[in-house]
Amino acid sequence: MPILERLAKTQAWKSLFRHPMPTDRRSRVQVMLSNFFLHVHPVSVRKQGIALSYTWCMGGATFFLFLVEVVTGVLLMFYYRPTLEHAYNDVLALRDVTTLGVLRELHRWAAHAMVIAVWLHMYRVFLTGSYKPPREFNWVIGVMLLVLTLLLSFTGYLLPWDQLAVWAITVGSNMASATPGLGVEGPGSGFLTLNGVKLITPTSDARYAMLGGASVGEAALNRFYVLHCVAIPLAASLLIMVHFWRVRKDGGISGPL
Amino acid sequence: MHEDANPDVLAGLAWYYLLASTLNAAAACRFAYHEMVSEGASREGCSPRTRRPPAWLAPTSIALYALALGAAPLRGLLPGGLTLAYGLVALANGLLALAAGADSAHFAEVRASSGVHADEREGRPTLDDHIPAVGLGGPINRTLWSLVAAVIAVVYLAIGLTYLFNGTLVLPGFVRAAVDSAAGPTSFFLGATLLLAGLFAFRRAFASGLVAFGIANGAILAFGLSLTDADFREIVARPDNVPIVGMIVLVAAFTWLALRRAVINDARREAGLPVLEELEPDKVLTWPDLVYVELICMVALTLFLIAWAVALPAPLEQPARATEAPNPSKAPWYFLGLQEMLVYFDPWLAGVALPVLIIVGLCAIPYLDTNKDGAGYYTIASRPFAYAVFQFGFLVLWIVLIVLGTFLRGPNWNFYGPYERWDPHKVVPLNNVDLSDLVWVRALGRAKPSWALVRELPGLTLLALYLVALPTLLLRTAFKDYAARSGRTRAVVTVVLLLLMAGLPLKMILRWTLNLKYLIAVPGFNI
Repeated sequence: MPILERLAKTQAWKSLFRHPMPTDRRSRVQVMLSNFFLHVHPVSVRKQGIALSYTWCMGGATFFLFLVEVVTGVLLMFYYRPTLEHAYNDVLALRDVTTLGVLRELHRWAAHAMVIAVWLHMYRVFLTGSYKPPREFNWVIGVMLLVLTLLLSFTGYLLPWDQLAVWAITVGSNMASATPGLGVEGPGSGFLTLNGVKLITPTSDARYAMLGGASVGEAALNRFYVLHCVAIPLAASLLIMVHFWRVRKDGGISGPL
Repeated sequence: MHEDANPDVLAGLAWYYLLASTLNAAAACRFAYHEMVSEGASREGCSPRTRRPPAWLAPTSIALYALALGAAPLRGLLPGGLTLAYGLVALANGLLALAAGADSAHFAEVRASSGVHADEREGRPTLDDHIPAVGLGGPINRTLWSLVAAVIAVVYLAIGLTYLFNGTLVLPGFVRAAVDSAAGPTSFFLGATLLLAGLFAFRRAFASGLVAFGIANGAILAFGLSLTDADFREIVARPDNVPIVGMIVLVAAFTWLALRRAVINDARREAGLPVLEELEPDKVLTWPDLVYVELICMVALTLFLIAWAVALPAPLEQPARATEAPNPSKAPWYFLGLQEMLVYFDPWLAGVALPVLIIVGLCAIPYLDTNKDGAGYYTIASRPFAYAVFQFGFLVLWIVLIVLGTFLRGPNWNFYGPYERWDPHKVVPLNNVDLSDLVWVRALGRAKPSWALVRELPGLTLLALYLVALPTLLLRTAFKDYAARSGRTRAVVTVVLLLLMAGLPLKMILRWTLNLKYLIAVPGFNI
């Protein structure tokens, strides 16, 4: 390919890629070392470690789906306003008015797929004993990422503000009011008192803190929106970085010792 | 009788069987291909010199299949798209038959003419080759099985054509009635548990690819026939439930794949051979070997997501109304296992304490499992207890409960059989009683003591026995070696976590046998 070769000799190309075309051993090593996005990977990997029937590709799929969620999520934020007045109609308009109206579909189905992929990743890691030393702590980070994935999905479930969303979150958030000690219906809700006044009431318990109100209303919509779009993605991104870093530091993709 | 078969349903079923047929055609090709590659062709020193089938035959057949599968979903835009799809598949099948005939003629010719035996194999051995290698059964007759798969493919095509020409083949009413009457939370949960136990006990038999092939085809047919039932279809085809159907398929496939690799590995280790994961210790360069696989996976996943998004609109119901709760009100699907637990436990346990324990327990696994064997490869023999407990927890206590909560729990969280209409007026008698009722009223025949501590004495005793005496006993018997090896703290934590995990199925059994509601019932604190 003469055009590509000539292009590879230009200053602009060389400023972008600090290596020749990855065609021989040396340049294939260089590309992994000098490219920011590729340097997550080691230069070489155990052949068996990357076999699909061993890894099932589920960890990678989870990460890719997370990226899909970020991209489609940002695009959705252009159209969506988290207020009682606009939320439902904005979602309706996403389907009926917006060009290429499958953004919400992509976002929702990728979210479901991500939940499934993260479970299957955990399943594979357990069945291959890949949590055993020295990878114990990375398993713990993985469990936290699993919880964050579920929370991301849970907070996003409310945003369309239809009957399905609101009542599913009502069922889920009702559990918070049963928190022992901190929920108004939980055991021990009467223990926390100040000068004989009960501190845990329907307007001051765990559920209230979660929803910002006594029921799923505008405050809950706002809280879930911020958690869904900012707080949890940031936390998940941080943990993903640590997770990947630890995979490398703990010896790469697992294999027989 | 409601609509079991309207034109849309018939077209959908025709498409479903087209897909099932294509899968079996692919299986037939795979069997035939490996016959050529790993058993026949290379051993016979087969080289491309006599009557080879034209090179364009195979790619053309595949392209025709792809066109057919593409035409089927577009039947809305393209009148007669489905008929066209079946025509294309018929053409592709004809070409494949031609190719197979040419191949076998060529093969026979080479076999007759040459006495050359090349020992080296082309391509890597498949898992099917590993099974006879370690004495887990004979080599499979790939010619026979490619024929079986081809016949199944043709049968599916015939069923699909029946639907295409408005034949109404539906699941017989007596089968539906029998399944519905046999189905219940008890039979469903116990059935799943027994299935897992059977899988574990007969894992050597299940490891055969042919068993999986049979099970997969049985499931395809059962699902296809179930889809002719309007009530089944209504629940399964809800947009948010479709991914759960996919999840069941994936979980089953991966469970089987892991089991197969574990069985082969265990047999290999018994024979003193290295495990599958040690066969190729070489390292390869990440570029291109891993980077390209990742790229292909990303492209495939993107295409899959786009197809899914175009085919299935995301659900959007009526705008939220604070006063009108839908019946049933369900949590998001991934929490339905927890919602199912609400049947057996109060919210503070099912919704808060047990989920927290699940997270804590998961985090604790690497610190409690001190068995160094079985890291980095699939094995059951080296860690049967860990493997079985995790599978029971993940498959039965999580996935099966989600499936139960999603597909079989209807209005008022009542249980409905798979072919049963979700009738909101279904009345299920609730006659659950507390342990204190059982002990004081039924067994001792007297009124319950008014003082709560005395009234709940049976429950408190039982709980203390379960969480204090039983762990002490277990630490001296079944977990004695483990405690000596891994330390007392680990052993205590492990035993208590395991007992808490076992608490759910135990409470279920108590509910089914004794109608037990609560072990301890104090206002605000029920167990």
